[in-house]
This record gives sequence, C-alpha cells and structure tokens, in this order.
Amino acid sequence: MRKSRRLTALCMGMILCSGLLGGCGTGSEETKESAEKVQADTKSQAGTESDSSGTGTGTDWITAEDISNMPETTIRYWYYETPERIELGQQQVEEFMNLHPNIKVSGSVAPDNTDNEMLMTYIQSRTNSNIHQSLNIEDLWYVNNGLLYPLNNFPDFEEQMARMDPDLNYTWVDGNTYSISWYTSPNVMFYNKKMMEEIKWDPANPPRTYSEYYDFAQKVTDPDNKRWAIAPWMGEEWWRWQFTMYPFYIAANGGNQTVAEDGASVIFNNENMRKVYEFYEKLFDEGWAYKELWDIDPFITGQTASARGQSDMLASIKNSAAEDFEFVMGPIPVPDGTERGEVDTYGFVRNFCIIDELGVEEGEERDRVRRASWEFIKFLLSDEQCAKDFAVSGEYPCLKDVQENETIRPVFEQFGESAVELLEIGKNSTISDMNTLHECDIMLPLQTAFLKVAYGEMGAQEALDWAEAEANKILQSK
Amino acid sequence: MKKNKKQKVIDIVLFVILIAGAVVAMFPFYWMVSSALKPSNEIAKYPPDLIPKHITLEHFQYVFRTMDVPRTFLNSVIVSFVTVILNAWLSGMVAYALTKLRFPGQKILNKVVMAFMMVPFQLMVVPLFLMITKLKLLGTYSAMILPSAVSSFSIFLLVSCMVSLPDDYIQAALIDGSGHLGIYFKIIVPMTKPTLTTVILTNFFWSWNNYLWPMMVTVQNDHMATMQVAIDRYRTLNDMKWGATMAACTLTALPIVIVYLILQKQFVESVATSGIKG
Amino acid sequence: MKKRPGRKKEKWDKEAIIFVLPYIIFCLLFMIYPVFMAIAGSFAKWDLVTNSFTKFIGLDNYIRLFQDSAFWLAVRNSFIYFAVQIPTSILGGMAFASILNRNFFGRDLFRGIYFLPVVTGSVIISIIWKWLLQSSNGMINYLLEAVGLPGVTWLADPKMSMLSISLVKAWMDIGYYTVIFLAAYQGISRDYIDAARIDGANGFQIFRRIKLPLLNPTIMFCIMMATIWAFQLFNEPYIMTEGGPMGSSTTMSLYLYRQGFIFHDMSYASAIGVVVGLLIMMISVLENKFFKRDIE
Repeated sequence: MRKSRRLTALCMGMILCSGLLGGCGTGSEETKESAEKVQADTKSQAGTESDSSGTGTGTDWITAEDISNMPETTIRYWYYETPERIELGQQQVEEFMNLHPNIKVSGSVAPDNTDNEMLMTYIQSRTNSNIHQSLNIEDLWYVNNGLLYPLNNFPDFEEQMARMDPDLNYTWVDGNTYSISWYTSPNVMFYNKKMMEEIKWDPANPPRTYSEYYDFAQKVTDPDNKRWAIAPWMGEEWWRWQFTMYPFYIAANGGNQTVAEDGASVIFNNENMRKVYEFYEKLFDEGWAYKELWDIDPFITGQTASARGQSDMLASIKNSAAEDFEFVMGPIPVPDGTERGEVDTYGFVRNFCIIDELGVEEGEERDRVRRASWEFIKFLLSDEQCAKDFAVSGEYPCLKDVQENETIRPVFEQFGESAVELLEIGKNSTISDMNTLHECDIMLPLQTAFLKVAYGEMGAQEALDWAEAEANKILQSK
Repeated sequence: MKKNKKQKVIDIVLFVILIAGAVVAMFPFYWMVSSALKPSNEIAKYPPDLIPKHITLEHFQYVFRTMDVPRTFLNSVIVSFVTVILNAWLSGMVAYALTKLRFPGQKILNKVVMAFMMVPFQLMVVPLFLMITKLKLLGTYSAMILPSAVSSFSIFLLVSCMVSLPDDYIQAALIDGSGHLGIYFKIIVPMTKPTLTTVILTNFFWSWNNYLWPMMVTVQNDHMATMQVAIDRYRTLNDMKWGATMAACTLTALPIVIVYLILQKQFVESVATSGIKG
Repeated sequence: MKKRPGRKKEKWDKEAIIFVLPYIIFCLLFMIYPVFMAIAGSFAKWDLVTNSFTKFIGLDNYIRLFQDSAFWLAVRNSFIYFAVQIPTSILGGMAFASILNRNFFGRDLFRGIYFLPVVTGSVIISIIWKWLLQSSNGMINYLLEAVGLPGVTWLADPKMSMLSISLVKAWMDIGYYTVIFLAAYQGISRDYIDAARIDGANGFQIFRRIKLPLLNPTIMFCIMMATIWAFQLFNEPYIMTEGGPMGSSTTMSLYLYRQGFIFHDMSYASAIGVVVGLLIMMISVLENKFFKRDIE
C-alpha cells in the first residue's frame, strides 16, 4: 500500500518537474536573445541605411533595389473582419503573387477576436500574420516585446510616408516608425432625420453643445415606444473606450492627451474629462441612453435617434436599415462654452506593421521575410488597392490626397454624398495619445469607470478618480 | 363518472403544458430559420415580425458565395466521424480493462480518468496548442481529432455499464482459449450496445458543435475550418450580418437535426438505458 | 481470472497493455502534459513571448486570487448558475417526464422536440437567445408586453444577467433530463405502484416513498454530471453578455480565459484553473457523500 502511494507521489513529482522544466528551457534563451538583439540593432539603425545581413548570400534584402532574384520567401497574411474584405484579401494575395513570383503569400482568415488577445499564442506557433493589421496603440505592446520591425529601415519608406496623412501616423520616442497607416475613419454623430423632424428640430442644425444635446435627447426619448436617444457601446473591453468617450474628450479638450509627456502618470483627471463623464452620467440617469450590449446599433433599426459612428455606419445603414431610413450627420458635441479646438474628434486608424518571426536568427532569412512583407504592404497601400478596399468597406484610405485622388474618386461617387460629408465633418480628427507603451492598458480603467457611471455604481468624479488611481498603478508597476 | 371528468380535465391541462413546452423548445429554431429567410432590412426591426413578410434566399446565397460550404461541411463530417469512432473504440477498451482486467496502476488510472473530467478546458488550451504546434499538427484533421479522442465522460459511462455485466461469459470464453481482445469484440461490444450508442451519438453532437478548439487550431488554414468556426466569419463586430449569421447557423444545425431525427428513437432509448445504469 | 490459491503475488493480464496503452499515450500527450504544464505555470511567471517560466513565484498567484474581488464575483456567479440551472433543469426534466409517462398522444414526438435544443450546440443557441432577450427589439419582451406584462432587462441588468443565462441553459438541458427520467419512470414496475394504490396511498405518497428512492441513482448521476459541466460554463456568457455588465455574469471559466488571453497573465489564469478544478472535485465528493447517504 505504502509503496504504491510513494510510487504515485514520485511519478507526480517527476511529471510536475518535467512540466516546469519543459516550460523553462525550450530554446527560449535563443529567442529572447535574438529579440533583444533586434531591439539593439534597430535602435542603432534608426533612419539610416544599413547592412543588417549577417550570413548568407551577402545581399542586403532590406535595401536592395531589385528583389527579383531573391530566393523564394513565404509570408503569412491574415484577412479580417468581413466576408467582403476576406474575398478582397484573397484576390489581393493572388494578384500580388503574380507580380512577385518569388514571394509566396499564405493568406487566411484571422481567427475570432485576435486583436491583441490570443495573438501571442499564434506568434509563438509562428502562425500569425507577418503583416499585422493593428491599431497604433496596440503596436506599442508589440514594440515593448521587441516584435515589430521598424519600417523606416526600408529605403523607400519616406516615399511611402509622404503619400500618407501625417496626422494619422506617429513616430515612436526611439526615433523609429513601426507602422504605417492604412485606413481611417473619423467619429461623428449620426441623427435620425425623421425623428428630428417629429420633434420639430431643424435637421440642418444638429446639436453642437451638451445642453443642445440634452434638449434633443429629452424630446426624443420615449421608452414606452422603445425609443431612446443614443445607444453607447457597453462592452467591457478597453478598446470600446476609444469610440464611446475618446471622441468626446478630444472635442472637449481640444487635444488627445491622456498621459503625461514622460509617460509616468496620467493627466486625464481634468475638468474636460469630468465634463464628458458627467455628460454620459446625465444621459444614463435620465434614461435617454440605452444600456444594453448590442450586435447591431439600434440606430439602424430605428430605435435610437442618434449614434456616434464611423464610416462603416454608412455601409451598415445601406445594408440593414429600412428602405426609407434617412439620416443627417453632425460633429461631436462639446461642453457648453467650449470653443472647438484644432482637433475635435477621434480618428480610428488601422495600421500595417511587420511582426518579426520568433525564433529565427538575425540574418538573411529574417530580412527576406521583412522585405517581402514590406513589398506586400506597399502593394496594399497602392492607390488601386486602397480604392478596392474602400469600395468594399467604406473606410477611407489614409492617403493625403484621398479626396482629390483620381483612382479613389469613383469610389466616393459610388458611396454618394454622405461619404464626402462625413470626411468633412470629421476632418479635424486625430489619433490617440502615444506617450506610453501602455495606452491600451490604461484605457481599461477608463472604460470600467464609464460602466460604473452607466450603472450608477459611482458618480462621474468618483469614477474618474478611481480610474486615475488604477491607471497610475499600471504605469508605475511596469 | 366524476373521476373520469376530473382526470380528463387534468389531462387536458397537462397536454397544454406539453404543447407550451414544445413551443418554447422550438421557438428559437423557428426564429433562426425565419430570420435567415427575411430580407436584411426587415430582420432587426422593431416591432419584430413573427411571420416573415417577405421571403428571400439572399442570405443563403451569400453564405454559399462567401464560404466553401461543401468543404467546410466535409471537414465537420470527417472530424466528427473520426473523433467519435476513435473515442468509442479507445474508451471502450479502457473501460473493459478497468472493469474486467487486472493490471498494475489500475486504481491510479481510474482516479486519473475521474480527475480529468473535472479539469476546465480553458486551463489546458495554451499548453495544448503549443504541444500541437510542436508536433507540427497545426491545421490538420489530427489536431482537431486527437485531443478529443480521449474522453473521460465516455469511459465513465462505459465503465458503469460494463461493471454490471456478468463475468460468466468472459470466464467461459477464457476457458475456451479466447484472448481478451477477442472477448472484447465478440462478446462485450454487442452487450454494451446501448451505452456505446449513447457514447457515439453524444460525442458526435458534441464534436459537431465544438467551437473554441477547432477555431484555434485551424488558424492559417481556412480550408480546414469546421462549420461552427465558419459561422464566426459572419459575426462581425458592430455591424452584425444577422441574415448571413442565421443562414450559416441554419446550415450548421440542419445536418445535426436531420441525423438526430432519423436516429431519434435509437438515440433517445440508448441515452435512457445507459443513463439509468449510471 | 485464473487464481492459484496460496500465491501471494497476483498475476496481471498482460493483454491489458493493448487495451490501455493507446489511451495512456494520448493521455500523456494531450491531457497530462498540458495540465501539468498549466499547473506548474501557476507557480511561476509565465512569459508568453518566449513561452518560458522566468521566475518562480510560489503561491503569489493564489494569494492574489484570494484577495481578488473580481474572482470572488466570478465564484458567486458560478454558484448562482449552479443553484439555479441544476435544480430547474433536473426538476423540469422530471416534471415533463412524469407528464409524458402518462402515455400521451405523440409522446415520441414531444420527446424528440424537447431534445432538440440539446442537439444544436451552445454557440448557435447563445447567438439566438442573445437576440431574443434584447430589451429593444427582442421577441421575448415583445411577447411579454403583448400580453400586458412588463418587459424585463434580461441581459443588461447586473442583477438579472446570470439568472437569464442560467434559465437559457436550463431550457437547453431540460430535454436531456426529460429523456433520461422518462426511461427511468418506465423502468419502475407498475406492480409497486398498483400495490401502493391498493393500500390506499395517494399520488404524492407514491411519488415520495416509491418513485423517488428508485430514481435516486439516476438523480445522482444527473447531478454529478451537471455539476461538472456547470463550473465549466463558458460559451454562453462569452457570447451572450461578454461576462458583463460589470462582471455580473462572468463565470470562473470565463474569468480564467480573460486573465489568460486578454490580460496575458497565463500564470494567474492557470492558478484560477487549478482552483476551479479543485472546487469541482470537492463539490463532487460532497454530492457523492450526500446522495449515497440517501440511498441507505
């Protein structure tokens, strides 16, 4: 009896130890080293041409002009989000491979919810997309882990950047640019035209200040007939804050700053942020705002009179709203007495960045993958491909001359006036504050504070104080 | 006389309850199918239409256009079938060994089987995924099949069934010189048919409806996705394509419902008989 | 088995190897290794970038778990689910089974219909129910209001969210238990019941004294399986409410997933997993004791 128990215990102990060891030593030393080396390399190479190849054929694929005799390289690409974009992605992969026979693109549909959540597992297993479609503040998390390759190392980088709207791109404090903008959409307010007319509100003059909005909301809300003023996005994730509140904060603040310049503490607990939280507090307390988690904005089904939206709202309306749905657009409201600043709304930007292969030594193979990825990025950013993506998604390419560009113009015409109008109303958009690597992390307390206010758990100032404390804890612990 | 009348009234009331229960059970399916047939701008409106005003096949056409339905269907079928057969075979053998044979470590194995029933899957997901990657099985049918080829639930059910099988047949066969393998296939399997049927069918349904694991494992290999994973493609973030999602759900649920309806009698009876023995 | 009297060392059936070896291999690769790695990971800092354990931190995770109010909220939620879903679905199953036992017209058809939700899978069901339970354009509230009852905030009210999910899952499982109990009822010999009737017992006494004890093994089986599944609830809250609002419908498994995949804290997530596993084991043992006692 005792013997078999001892045997059992011994076996379990051994298995436990092997589990621990298995977790510890599996080639991880190498990958950590090469990841560090990348950081060291890139820091010293910021903005200059360099020979980053170690071994191999001796050709520097990063800076080579002609890559037609590059050995065959395979890169992976994930298409996201909608069946239409998936279809377009498949076409683009094929077209690109025809242009570059020595580059093989293995395209596939991104798995559910991989913005930066499960991504690490895929990176570990080398099944992630080499060309990652990211969000500027998410980039920083990867930068922090040494996973992104600076795009400014490529010789024609400046050329590409010059085509883009500079307001939508950023350079990180170490002098590198880790991603390049692809598509964008500013945030504006949408209003149901018929409901406006019903309450005798002039559709040409949507509410511009908080009190105007309160007035509008109060007149239009009718819970007995299942009609509310607005349905904010109520989820728990950090990124929802960017859409629910950030546009309002930027409008109220005239700027996007939430973190101090040195990245050590947050500065968002100011009067303007408080006004935004109080704005939402009032909307919820008075019952003007709809509190549920939705899959399709009730604005489209005709149950809320207004919505905060981006250009994909235009596509949604076209697809799912009733035949006779009419809407108008307006800027994000500001607190009473606030002058609109240079920027007055949040512009969501989707970027391309290159995620380095984990576990591959610095050298020719790594460079080839990077260069192949860069070529594909340039292809996707070409006028023609941008126009195609725009046509399929309704989200604006980040090109500087997007409205004048000849290739893009037909798509604008296809979408009609609203597309141009939205861009006009949102022309003073800006991306987020980029003062800390942990932008994503500090948005979580902000979103949680929003929910606390929404559900009446805390008052606006109290919630904001709580969020500040939590955010500072995060910044100071890393 | 009075008794009969009272009985009748009770009977009617109970029958109404049964009908109400059936309506409640069927309603979501009705909703799924009717939504899949409504045009886009009538699906999410309020007040909702119980009976569709217009019928359209556009969502089904859309799903067929954007998803390789035959291939996805085939993937689901292959994964489910092989998982189920493998599972039933292995579980049966282990159950037999645990109940009728003797070998060192038997008690430990028993406890291990029980213990693993209680482990939440999410705990194992990441190491399991990395293990599959190391074995270079990512994106293959094996990756979806193998982890489910062992199932404590099946073993548990089969054990409780085999425990009550009389040993006489086995003894007789042993004396006749038959090996245990032969006994297993020729005697035990036929005798445990109901439970085996339960195990097979339960695992089939479970495998067909499995979502998290196949999704993770078919990354970078779309053509290997099963139908449940493919539904996700239509569940986009804030502009949910309800019509397409409902159509995809209908297509995914349909084969299962058909299989179920055909095999209903056998399945339900086998679940029942084995359920009691547990 | 051939036993030779007087021999102390027992022979074992060598053929057992064939039966058991494939299972053991699978087990080691796909169950034991991941679980032990995960358990080991709960005692160390787990760096996902390099997939290695960088520092041994002992019981830190567990101490943190003990002080984590969000975790305790998840525990509370799982227990609410446990307390609501299991009795509702099992008792509901028993009730429907006893009605069907009266030999109704179309009994097989009803049985088939009730089982349908079980067969369809939780993803599809969660998607549909999430829509049906919306306050704004969901059918359930629409129907309630059509008959004059007030609509309920099923999913957006922190007090109702876990309850709603439990009811949906109960709806899903009632068919399963109906089928099991129907057969169990049919297995009860009519003689017992007739004899009791002759002795003058009424329906209720018959149920309590005769049917219930005979059903005990079935009930116990159902409760044990339901318990194990209950604490692993993930799909439904994930799809229907994302664990909200304010974490009021986050179950322990969902909390684990969130810690591991959204906050990238795999070692903390592993600690949660270990605790959940232990909890399930403890409750199962308690249930076992409770029901075994009943039989006697």
